[in-house]
Parts: sequence; structure tokens; C-alpha cells
Amino acid sequence: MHYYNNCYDIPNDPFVNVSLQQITPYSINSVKIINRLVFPITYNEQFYRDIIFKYNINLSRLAVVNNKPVGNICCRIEPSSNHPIVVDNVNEEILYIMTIAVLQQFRRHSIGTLLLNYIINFCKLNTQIKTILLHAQITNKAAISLYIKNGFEIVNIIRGYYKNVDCPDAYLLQKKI
Amino acid sequence: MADINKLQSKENTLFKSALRFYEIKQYKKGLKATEQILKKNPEHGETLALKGLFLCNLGRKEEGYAEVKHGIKNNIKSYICWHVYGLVNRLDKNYEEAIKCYTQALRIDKDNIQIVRDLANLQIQMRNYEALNETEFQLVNLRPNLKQFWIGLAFSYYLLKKYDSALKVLEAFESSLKEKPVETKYEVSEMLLFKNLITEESGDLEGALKHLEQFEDKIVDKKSLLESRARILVNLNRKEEAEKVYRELFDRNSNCDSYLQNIFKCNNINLENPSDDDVKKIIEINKGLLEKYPKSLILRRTPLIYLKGEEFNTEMKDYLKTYFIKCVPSLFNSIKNIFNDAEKAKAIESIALEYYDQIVKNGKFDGDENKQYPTTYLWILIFLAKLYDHKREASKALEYVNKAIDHTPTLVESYMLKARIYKHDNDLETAMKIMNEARELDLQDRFVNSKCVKYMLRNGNIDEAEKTAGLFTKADSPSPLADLTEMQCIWYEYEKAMAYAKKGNNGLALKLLHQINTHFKDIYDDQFDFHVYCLRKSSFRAYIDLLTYEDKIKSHPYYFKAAVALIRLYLKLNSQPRKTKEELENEKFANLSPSERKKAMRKARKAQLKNAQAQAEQNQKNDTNKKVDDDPDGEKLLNAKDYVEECIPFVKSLLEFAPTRIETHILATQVYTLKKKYLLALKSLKKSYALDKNNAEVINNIDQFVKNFNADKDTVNATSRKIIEEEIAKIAK
Repeated sequence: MHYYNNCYDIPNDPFVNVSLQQITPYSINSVKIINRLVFPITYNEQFYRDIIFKYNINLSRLAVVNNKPVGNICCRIEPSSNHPIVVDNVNEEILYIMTIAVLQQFRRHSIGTLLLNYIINFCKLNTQIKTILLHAQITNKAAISLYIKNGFEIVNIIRGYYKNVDCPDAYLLQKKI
Repeated sequence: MADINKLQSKENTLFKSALRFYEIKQYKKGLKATEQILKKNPEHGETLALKGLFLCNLGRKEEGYAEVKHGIKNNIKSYICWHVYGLVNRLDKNYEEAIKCYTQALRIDKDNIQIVRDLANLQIQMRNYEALNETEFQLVNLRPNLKQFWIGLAFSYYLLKKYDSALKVLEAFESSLKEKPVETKYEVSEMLLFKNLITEESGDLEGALKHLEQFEDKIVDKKSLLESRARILVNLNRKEEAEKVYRELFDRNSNCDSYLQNIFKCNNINLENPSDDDVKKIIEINKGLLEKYPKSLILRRTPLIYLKGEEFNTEMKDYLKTYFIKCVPSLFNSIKNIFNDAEKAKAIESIALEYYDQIVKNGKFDGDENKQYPTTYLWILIFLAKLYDHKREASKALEYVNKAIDHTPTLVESYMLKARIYKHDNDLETAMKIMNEARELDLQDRFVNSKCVKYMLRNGNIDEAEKTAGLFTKADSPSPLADLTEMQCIWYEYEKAMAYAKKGNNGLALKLLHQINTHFKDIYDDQFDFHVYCLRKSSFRAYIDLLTYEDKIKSHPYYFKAAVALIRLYLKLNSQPRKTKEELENEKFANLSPSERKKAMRKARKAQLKNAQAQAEQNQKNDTNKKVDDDPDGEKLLNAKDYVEECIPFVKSLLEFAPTRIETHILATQVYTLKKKYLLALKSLKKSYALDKNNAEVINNIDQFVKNFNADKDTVNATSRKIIEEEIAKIAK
């Protein structure tokens, strides 16, 4: 009776369908929900408004699998003087990754790498930026290994970076491009 | 005294230019021209009529009518005046009056082609085929060399079902041509198919088949060609040949259910009640086709309908697994009809649960090597939730849908499903809230937005619903409702009317339900433009479809829903004592203390005054172009003299277009009993009794009927009384 086994071209990996979309006022709610589930801290409304209206819209992306938003990356460009410890040239601009998140069920499918690659390529092609920075909670092993795998290195430990969470300490990670 | 209807040469040219302005729709310029003529000849009838026509076209109806009538009075013997009067009436969709005017105009000038043509269009709109036939005949006589008139004549014969005459007309015209006219391929093809249709409907199947063969290469619409051929072959009982043609058609579209069913039927398979042999045949044919068309969806679904027991389980397992992996949101809907079979439903449930367990335990299906991706698990959850929702087991459905939301909180479908489950559980408030969450997840999705509006209306949040609906309506329309009315958005009006009715705001409910009725009237009226267009473009078959569709437009489910709701509302109003204006106002502020009430009333009065002022201002601004709503709260409708009388037209159209529905006859009985039309009431009573004799409303109707009839017995004439008494004895206990 199995005469139509495998007659369909079922893609072996549904995650080939991951697409990165611009974050708009219409989809910002999905970003909020993802962040609420992934991060121990809550971001305020202003944070989300800035993503859409203040920073370059191409510095943030929503990862969508088969029409379901499952992750996001949101960055901004800031002067290096905000991070005096790491950067030598004070007048340089750096890219700071504010949030990068993937829903727990959809991890280990290279969506995080895809998001990082997107932003790295964007910087290479469109900007003069040489440095990407981000903070990570030092207990978040999975995230840190993702960053290391993608060429980031730990450059500093900041004690008490996060407030009102179990582990307030953060690594500062950096990638030169 | 000089003849008032004579113009000097200068005015005469002006008049002619005014006529031209009408033809090219330059109404304002035309109006100026007529006014110029009227300065010198203030009583010139034709100009007055023409001026009226321009005024009407510019939206100043009342003035326009007055002018036209004035014009006719001054020159009753002018065909122009009567033609204009006909045009004005046609503009107002008052077709019967228009026909009268045209006939009058033709009495004066019987060979005026323009008027005859207009008349023909009106007659077809009114479905007066006999008269149409005469008119078309006249047109052919007037201009025997014009193709479109010949076609019109043939078409009128077709509508009268005089197929032989129709064919003869077409042939006579073709043979009278000395040289072939220039026609596009499409026109030739449509003409051939039209002729073929006439031949087929006349019952000459062999002839029609031969005709198709003869002109096969000239017919460009291959699909229709094949469909006609297959249909004729089936009717000729040449099933083997018919099957071949249906297989050819299936090759063109391997997802067409009717082709597949016809292939089965050509193999003498009884599809309604298949024997074991029939099932075997079905599976065999299906298997053969599936090898050829592996991508066809209906071929995958068909075995599921006919197989039973263990074989069904194997097939179903395969089917579900394939589409779980493929993440198909509509998977449950695709097998909903199979779900009606209790045994199969049970099997489906246990298969799905089995798969669910496998994925939860190992993250993969038993027997597979690879792990499944998280989306597979998600869609199994959604499937199970839908399944239990269908069974109305709310708690189980909620359990699965909540798991789905925990798994992927960004999937809009899960929220919508959750809202639906609550709706089915009659918790409209929660349903609305969750649907709103779904909406907020994707603010660009019009579908979710509409659903949310519907849920809000169900829950009685009318203002909120209007605001939400407004997110997707035109920004420059005066209100969301105005735009939705313009777009003939019937579901919205229906739901809103129901919401108003629930709140006791009967005026607005009536108004919206009447509005739905108006939409259907508009849709019917809109066919007018196609009478000329379709014949000119030679799209006969589509035109015939349009005519039959428009004839049955009121059998649309939404018309039925709205008409039933409207009659029920009227009957409810009829059974209550009428409220005076003061009572109504008091009711509005019933919950307030006396002092508060005074305040509120003062406030309301002020608001009213302001509204009126604003309206007046707007009217001035809008000038004459926009229609003013003269009954914004439906008060006029509420003040109707006899509510039951208002129901009659709706009852009549229900009886005509939905005669198989029990609601139709229940309501007809009630209305006619109240109107003391006992024979009509009895007729519907009997029908409803035959449809469902245990229906509570039917039983109630019988009691009411007997009670009312016995009270009125003496007024009913003897013969009817006897019939009614005999018949009612059969059903009343």
C-alpha cells in the first residue's frame, strides 16, 4: 500500500526556509515576545521604538521560519568612546549588538549564526566599521560558544553589568572585521 | 404666438452640441449650453428635458425631474423628450418606468436605432424575453448588415429556448455575407462554442459532437472544448470515450475533483454508495493515476474517503506523517469530511496521538533515523487542538493549543485557534482578547484583523470593532462603516446588526440588515452594463453564466442569513408594545439617578444639536454630490406602520430562493398567520412539518395557527375553510 512513499519533494531541512526580514511596526510585537522569553531582563517601549525609528533599519532583522518569527538581532552604531577599554582609536565608530535571540525550540539550527553573518556582511559591505561588540552574561555558555565559534573573543569582564538578575557579571566580546 | 418649440439656427447648433456633450459625458458643459438656449427660448421643451437630464447626472435629482417633466409638458410629441425621460428613469434604476417612456418615444419615432437598442437592454434586464425578441427583430430589420444585431436576435431566441430559430438566424447571417468579416481567433472560437451550446441544449447531441470535431482546431478554449465533449459523450452513454476525454482533462488539472469523479463514474462506479467491488476499482484507478501524477493532492485524499478498517489506518498514517513533516496548517481541514465517519474519526485521533507520543519521547517518528525538526511537533499539536475543538472538547483542545503557544509563541495561527476554542466554548470575552493578541502579533494581516473585528462584534464591543476595522479601510472615507458599505462588506454589516440587535438598538440593526438587501439589489442592477459589453465582445457563454447567476443572486447564503434575521427582528418588534420617544430616551439613562439623568439628557441634547449643525455644514460643503443619510439611526424604519407587512417581500424571496430550508417555512408560516393569509400559511406549515416535525418552532407554529384560525374562522370563505380544516387535522394533534 505504500505506493506513494516519498512522492513529495519534502525538504529535508525546513530551516532552508529561514528568511531575514526587516522589523516594522507591524512585526515589532513578535520581537517583544521573543525577547521576553529569551532574556532575563525586560526592555522598555522606548527600546523598541528606537529599533524601528531611530537606528538604521538594516541593523535589525527578524528571523522567520516558515512564516513563524523565531529570532531577532538588533544593533546600533555608536562611537567607540562608549567602550574606552577596548578600542584605541577614539574617533572610530563601532557596531554594538543590543540583542540577539532565538527561541529555545529553534536553537541548534544555525539561525544565530545566520543572524550574526548577516550583520557582519552588512558592516563589511556598507560601512567603514572594523569592530563589533556585544555583552554576554558569563553564565550563558551556549551563547558564548556561538560567539567564539563565529570569531568573537572575550576582551573584558564587567562586574555588575546586569541588574536584578542571578548573575550580574558580563563578558564583553569583540570581533574585528 | 410663435411656436415655443422652434429654435433659430444658432440655438439649433447649440442644442446639437449639448447632445454631444451628453454623449461624451461632459455634463457641466452641457448644462451651460442648455441654459444658454433657455435664455432666448425659455419654454423650449426638448432643451428643458435635456437640462433635466444633465441636472440628474450631476446629482441634482429633484430639480432634474421637475425640468424633464416641464419639458414633456411643453412638447409632448417629441421623441427626444420621452427618450430623456426614459434615460432619467434608467439612471434611477426605475426600469419599468423607463421601458414605458422608451415605448412612448418609439411610437413617435419608430425607427430610432439608439432608442430601440436602449429598449432592448432594458428588456433583457427585466428578463422580458418575448418583448426582447421583438425588439431585436426590429433592430435587424433596421440595420440588416450589422453583425451585433443578428447575434442579439439569435441570443434572444436562445433565451426563449427556441434553439432551432437561434441557429437558423446565425446561419442565415453567415450565408448572407459576401466576404468573411475580420474576426479575431477568440471571437471565432467563442461563436463556435456558442453554437455548439445551442445545439447541445436543443438535444441534438450527435450533431453537437460532430460540430466539435469539425471545428476542433478553430476552438481556442481547449478546456471548454474537452469539457463539452466529455459531457456530451456521457449523455450519449459512450462512457469509454468519455473516460478518455476526462483523463485528458485530468492531465490538464490533476487537482480537479469533478474530473476524477467523472472518471470513476465512467467506470460504472456508484460513488454515493460504493460496494466492495467499487472500492477496489476506485483504489486501482487511483493508484494508476497517482503513479502518473504523484503531486496530485486529491489523489492522495481519495483513498481515505473510500477505504475502511486496517487499510484506512495504513493510508491515514502515511498521509498524516507526510503532511506533519511538511507543516501544512490546513491539514485538519483537508480531512474534515472524513471526520464525519465516527469510526474513522476515532482512528485519526489515535494515530495523531501515537505520533505525538513518539515525537515527545524520542523527537522522531518510530522507525525513522533522523530526528524531526521542532516544527513537526508544533503542527502535531495544532492538529490535535483542532481535532478536539471539532469534537467540542474544549479542555483537551486548550491543553494542546497552550502547548503549541509555549513551544512557539510567535505563531499567529495558534492564538487564532485558541480564540476559536473559547468561542466554541461560549466564552466570547476571552475569545476576543486572545484574537486581539493574535492580531497584535501581525498588524499587517488583514485576515486576522477581520477575525478580530468579528469576535469583538460577537462580544458586543461595537465601537472597538469599528475602530479596529478602520485600520484597514480607506483613510479618506468619512467612517470605517461608510467604506465597508461601499465595498459591500456583508459579513461586517451582518455581525454588526446582530450586535446592535442584542443590545436592543433595533433601529440600527434594521438599517444594516436592509443595507445588505440593498447590496444584493445593487449587484443585480450592476449587470446592466454587461448587456451591451458581452455581446460586443462575443463572450456569450460567460454572459449566459452571468444571467443565470444574477437570476439566483438571492439564493446566496448571506442573503438568506440577513433575510431570516430581518424577519425575526420584525416579528420580535411586532410582538412588543411600541415605545414612545420618551420611553426610549428614559431607557437610555435607566441606570442613572434622577439628577444624573438630567445632566446626561442635557448633554445628549447638546450633542445632538452639535451633530445637526455639523451635518448641515458638511452638507453645504459636499454640495449635491454626496448622498445624505436621511435616517442615520434607523428611526424611520422603526416607525414603519406595520412590521409584518415589511416582512412580506423578504418572505417571498426566501420562498423563491431558499425553498428547502426549514427556517424559510417557519417564518413564512408566522408572517402569513399574522397577516391572516391562512392558505399561504398552511402551505408553509405543511412544508416545515415535512422537513422536521419535531422542531420546537414548528410545533409552536401549529398551535399559533390553530389558535388564530379558530378565532377568525367566520371571516374565511367556506371552500378555503374546509381545506384548511382538513389539512390541519392531519398534522395537529
